[in-house]
Amino acid sequence: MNSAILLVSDIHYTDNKTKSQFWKGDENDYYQKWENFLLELQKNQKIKFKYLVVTGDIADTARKMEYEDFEEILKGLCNRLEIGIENILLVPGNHDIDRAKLTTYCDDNRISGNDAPNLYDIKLGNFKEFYKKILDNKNLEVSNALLDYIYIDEIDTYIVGLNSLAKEGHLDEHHVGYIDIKKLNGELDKFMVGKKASVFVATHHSFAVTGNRELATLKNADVVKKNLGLKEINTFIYGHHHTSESHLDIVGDGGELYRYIEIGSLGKILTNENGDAFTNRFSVAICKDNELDLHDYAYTAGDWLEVNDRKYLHKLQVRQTKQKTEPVSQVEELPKVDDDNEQKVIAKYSKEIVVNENNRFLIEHLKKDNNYKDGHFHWKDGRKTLGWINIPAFLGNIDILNRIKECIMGMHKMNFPNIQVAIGYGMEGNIIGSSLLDYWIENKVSYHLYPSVHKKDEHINREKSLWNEFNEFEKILLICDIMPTTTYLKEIIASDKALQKCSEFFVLALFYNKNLLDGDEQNGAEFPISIKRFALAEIDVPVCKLDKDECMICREGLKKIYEL
Amino acid sequence: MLYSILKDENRYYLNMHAECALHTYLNGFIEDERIKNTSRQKQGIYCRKINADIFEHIYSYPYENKSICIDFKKIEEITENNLVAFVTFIKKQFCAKGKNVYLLNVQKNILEKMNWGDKFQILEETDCIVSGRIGRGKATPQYDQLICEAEEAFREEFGRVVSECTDELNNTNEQHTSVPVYLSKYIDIKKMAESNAGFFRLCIYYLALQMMDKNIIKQECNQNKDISLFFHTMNGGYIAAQLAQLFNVDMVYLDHLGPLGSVHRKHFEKSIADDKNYIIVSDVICLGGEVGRARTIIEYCGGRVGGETCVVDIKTVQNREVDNRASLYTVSKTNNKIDYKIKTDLCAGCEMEGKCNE
Repeated sequence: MNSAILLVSDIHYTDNKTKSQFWKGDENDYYQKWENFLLELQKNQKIKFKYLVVTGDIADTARKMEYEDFEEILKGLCNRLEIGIENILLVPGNHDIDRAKLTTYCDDNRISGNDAPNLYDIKLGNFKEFYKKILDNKNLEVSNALLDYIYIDEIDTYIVGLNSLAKEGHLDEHHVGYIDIKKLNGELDKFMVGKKASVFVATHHSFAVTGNRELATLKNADVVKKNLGLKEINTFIYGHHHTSESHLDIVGDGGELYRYIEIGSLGKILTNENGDAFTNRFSVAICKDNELDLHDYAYTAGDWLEVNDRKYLHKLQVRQTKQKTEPVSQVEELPKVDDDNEQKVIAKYSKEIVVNENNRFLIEHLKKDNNYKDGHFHWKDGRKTLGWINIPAFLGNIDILNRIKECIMGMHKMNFPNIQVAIGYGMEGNIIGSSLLDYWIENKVSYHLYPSVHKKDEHINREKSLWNEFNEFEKILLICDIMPTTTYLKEIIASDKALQKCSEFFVLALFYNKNLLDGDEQNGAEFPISIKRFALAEIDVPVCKLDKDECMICREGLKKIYEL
Repeated sequence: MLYSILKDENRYYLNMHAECALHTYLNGFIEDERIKNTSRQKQGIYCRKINADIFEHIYSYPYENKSICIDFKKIEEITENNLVAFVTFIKKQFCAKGKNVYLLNVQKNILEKMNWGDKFQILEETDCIVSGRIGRGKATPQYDQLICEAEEAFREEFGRVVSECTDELNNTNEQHTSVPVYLSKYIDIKKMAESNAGFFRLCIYYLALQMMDKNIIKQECNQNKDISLFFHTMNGGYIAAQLAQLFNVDMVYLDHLGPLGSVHRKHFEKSIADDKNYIIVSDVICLGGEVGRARTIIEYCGGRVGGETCVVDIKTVQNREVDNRASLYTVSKTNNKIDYKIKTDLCAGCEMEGKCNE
């Protein structure tokens, strides 16, 4: 039986029934259903909830009464799930600030609004009291940047709770998430002395922008991430957005990898401007051999169900430091692209291939009849695999194509939101890209179709050209079926000036065969432009290790993919 | 973005069903598989409901000072909140500026909720559908005239785009190897799709409607289970991928039938099922050679060809109408605004180096 961490956020406990789903007492269907679901989950998934992390907004207005009511609920839950107090981490959110008390205190004592954020014991007084009651009289120093931590034994990792309320006061202009970086560095250094375990951080405010809610992100997120990065901390758990869009992000020239685990709102009754209800959510992280399996659950049509479609990070390696991708390197010579004398530029090639974790449907479909063939196949360009995927069976199936479409929409928002051009490469890439045309139009992305460079003789120049206004665009997404090798990618880029001139180049493939790409990675540094690669699913198809001339099947032309 | 909005000198034309059908990507809030599957059957060409997003697009369009004609054909459901906001917008944007508003093919139950009262002057009425005008002015175009003018606005725009994307072909190097003739013009469907993506989607919508009119595709979504779209070119794939979204049907493709004239993959045979109908999707049907080969292959593999569809159909010979072919634009002896010509070495003026000289 695996241990699991119950990840909860934004409960917004209040006595106002129009604002919170949570209600004290057994008559409350919502709470009871949730608790029952957790107990069933333990049974069905063969897991044991051993840890609880709550990333803020426990109460809605931070009144004492709200905490008193919720204390009873939380204690009951921890008793039933048998979660020990040493394994509970509670982090305050902006709704845990008692703004009424803070206003009165400032008024009574003629304290300027600008000084109010420093009155930690006043603004978080009720939260502090609640903390004490839940955690057996444990004192929380609410003015600290590092509030508390728990140790996850199974994966040798600390989850450290950070205070993101350093600048929160009672005035509107103080409604901002901020971590006191000076305090944090000092406290973290002290905390990490003699510790070799991994460290994840948990806060209320987010480290990454979700949707267009830029203001809801930590104001100094970049500085904090940079400082934490120096301490090899790159995993951030947070709430606040009320959604759960966990994802990976590779940023900067050095290709730093950040992992964001976003926890949805468990209790808030949520509606958008159109009156549509959002679903309430919580997450579970199951501890497995040195990794965490992440699962999202949403309250849909009166039941708790596992959801995958808005979640992009499902598995997390624990021993993973920020420098997973290779740094920038200089190149001596560019690949020869055409007769023009292009200037030499610095290559920015990320070896990391980000794989969409919501890919079970692809793997399931791969297992079906005729969708995967064993054998010894060589492609026209010499690539060789001991197996072959029947891609038409994926792209021709409208249900599969729709799911691929959804995954790409999610990846676009998370990983390459600023692209100006999407290119459907080859017959297959074009099917995927064209099926998203309405989405590209809506997001002001110009869509182009581009035939495979290996079929250049089959097309006239007009069919091969990228439309002339293309030169104005800088960030390009190339969509294809199988992730091209670096050699092949160079050929593609060399085939058109428009591709060479872009500043950022993203490649998105349906499948990525890691064996096919092993061994040619050293060529990556020679790319003339910044390349980032993404795939919907990773496959492990063995490749023929022999050279073209040594392999009898290849040499004699016995089995080639294009003339099966 | 509004896909269907067109204008002439008198007014704007807006097709509500086209807007609903063409905004096909799934709503992020739908997370339950069961709900999603049901909703898919009501999407694309089969949608009957206008949601809030479509109205947002309508409200944010930069209108000039013109009247508007809005067609509600096939629309069966609009929520009351959206209707109230829509009527307020119409009053403010058009009525208050003295412009006429024509509402065509509105279901009576929807019109009642709009609550126009006697401001709505009826132009045409059946048992449950009504068309009419809100506004002043003596000269009122009739229902048939409005429909004709809306169609003409589309035809004119499409003709303009075809002309813009049709280039002279003087050099044999530019001639496509897929047809063993010299063409005077190259109708660049790729350019059409890339430079006018939104309008080209509207073209595909009208092509889809024509396929339904010709019974190539069925009127009900669940009757299309035995239908797949077949294509063998990049442009065909571009069109088919969007038709597949509109109809919620599967696709089969062959890479590549045309220029090489050979079938690369035998596995394709297994993709063709005996009990299925295949609709061949092309960009331009010129002499019909590629479509003919596709038809032969499908039938050889045991499938049935349920129809053909293309954006431009070149009618080269009289009295050779193909059954079940839907096309958006026909070039024929009587309709040849782009001056399309087909020549061979046997024609006068084409003997030298394959140039197609007049």
